[in-house]
Amino acid sequence: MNSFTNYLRATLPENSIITNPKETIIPEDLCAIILSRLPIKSIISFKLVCKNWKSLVESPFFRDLYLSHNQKSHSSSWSFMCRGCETEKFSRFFISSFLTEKFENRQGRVVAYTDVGLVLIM
Amino acid sequence: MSKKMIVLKSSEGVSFVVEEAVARQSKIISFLVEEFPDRELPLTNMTSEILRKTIEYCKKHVVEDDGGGDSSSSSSGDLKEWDVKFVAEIDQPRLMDLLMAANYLDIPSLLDVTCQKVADTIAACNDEKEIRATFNIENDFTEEEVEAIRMENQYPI
Repeated sequence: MNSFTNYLRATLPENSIITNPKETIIPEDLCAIILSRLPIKSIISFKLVCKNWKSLVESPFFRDLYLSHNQKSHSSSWSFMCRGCETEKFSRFFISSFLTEKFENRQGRVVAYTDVGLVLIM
Repeated sequence: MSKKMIVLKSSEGVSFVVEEAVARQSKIISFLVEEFPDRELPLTNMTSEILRKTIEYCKKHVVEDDGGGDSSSSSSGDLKEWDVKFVAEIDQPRLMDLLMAANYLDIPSLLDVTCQKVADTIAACNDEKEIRATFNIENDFTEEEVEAIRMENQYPI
């Protein structure tokens, strides 16, 4: 009997990260699964929600989860930032158009990247 | 041959009698049924309401593998549509409870649809303030910290 009730109790969550008005606690790993389903441009909003969310989306665990989830789906939400020589302005390109239109005739250099896979090339 | 039934008990002590095949979609219950046969399974962290919803989902998704009778085999398209409606009808707090139930009971497909619904809810928020309000999250940043995060995450378009 003891092992039975202990077993049931052992799986209760400890780390809280999303709560709701009734104080249901969503553990960190579930929160990561949910956030990894969202487009990369929302990441900045997540970082601003609270410290827990910020450290979560900046963690290697989240990066790996994001990559594995998004490799399975189509890549249209992935985007590159590129500074064009002619305009000196930043533009954002979806990966497919970037590769076909911009990358062919240009020498690029990775200037910066975020740990969630956003790359800045100049 | 009559189907084997098992009894699940909610946190309020309400008993739910469920076909074993339905309940076994939960990996935890599958395990418990084998380890502790013929015993009521107390799900002390699950309210009757959430347990009822979980069972409703499992009943819809149970695979009739006895090959006969009146199995109303839903096509996968119908089932997807049913799932969307199922989570759409649940309010935010209960959705979180259902997500937790799916996680706790280890029902991967229910976890998937509830996670997706929460993700869609977050995606529908315009900014971090709306996300905080929707999920009742406290802002624990100072204004300086917010500014610093904005600076290092500028997203030029």
